[in-house]
Amino acid sequence: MIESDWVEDVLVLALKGRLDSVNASAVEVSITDQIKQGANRLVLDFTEISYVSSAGLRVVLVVAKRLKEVGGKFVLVGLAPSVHEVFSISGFLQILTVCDTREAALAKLAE
Amino acid sequence: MLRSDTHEIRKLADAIEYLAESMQLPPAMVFKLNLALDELITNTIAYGYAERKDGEIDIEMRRHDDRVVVRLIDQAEAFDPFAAAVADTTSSLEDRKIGGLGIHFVRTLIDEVSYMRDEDRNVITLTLLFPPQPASASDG
Repeated sequence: MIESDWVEDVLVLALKGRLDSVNASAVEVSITDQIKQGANRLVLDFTEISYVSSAGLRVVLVVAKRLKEVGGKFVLVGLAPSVHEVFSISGFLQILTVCDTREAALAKLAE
Repeated sequence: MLRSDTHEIRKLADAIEYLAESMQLPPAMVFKLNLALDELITNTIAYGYAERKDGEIDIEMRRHDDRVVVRLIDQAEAFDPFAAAVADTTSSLEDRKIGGLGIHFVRTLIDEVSYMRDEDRNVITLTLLFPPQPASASDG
């Protein structure tokens, strides 16, 4: 469900399919493990995520909080319109950084 | 009818797709119904049935001229999801509370929501109005 790829010191995680109550805990553990192992600059690529419920948003919030604690940061990329709407009505767009492309996200993290 | 097992959420998505297609609902309505039902059913499974896997949740969907009405019925402990506190959608990342967003989605996306306790059953009713039809050329 998660494809990971290092671009220099940035960990790019590409998620696929649905992010809901069925798989949210597994995804959360997988990403927070990477943070524990020292990854502190992340791109979460949602291009192939078709559906996110509140359980999925919880994962994103936990990741954001963990990274904040260790002085890291992350950028979200590729939100489909319905996924974007879910982030929007949650008020998440005010507290997260969202870019259209991976390149833009990497540039943002390099700032 | 779904069992109170989180994995049934995937079956829900397929069922909603199927019903929505047979009722010819626009994709935006399918998305709203899918998300709202996912959130409510996930709550019922996690809290109402407290992770018991043998509970049952009935879903009825009816199409009317201008609206779709969905009823969710379970026999879990009495629980009004709409009585819960409003979710935090404005504080900073550090202070942002985790939780309550599911019901916030339901309130935001669905036109009318209601809850009633009917003897030993929880009955949640969701009403979603069809988007206004664009006026046809002959009307002008």
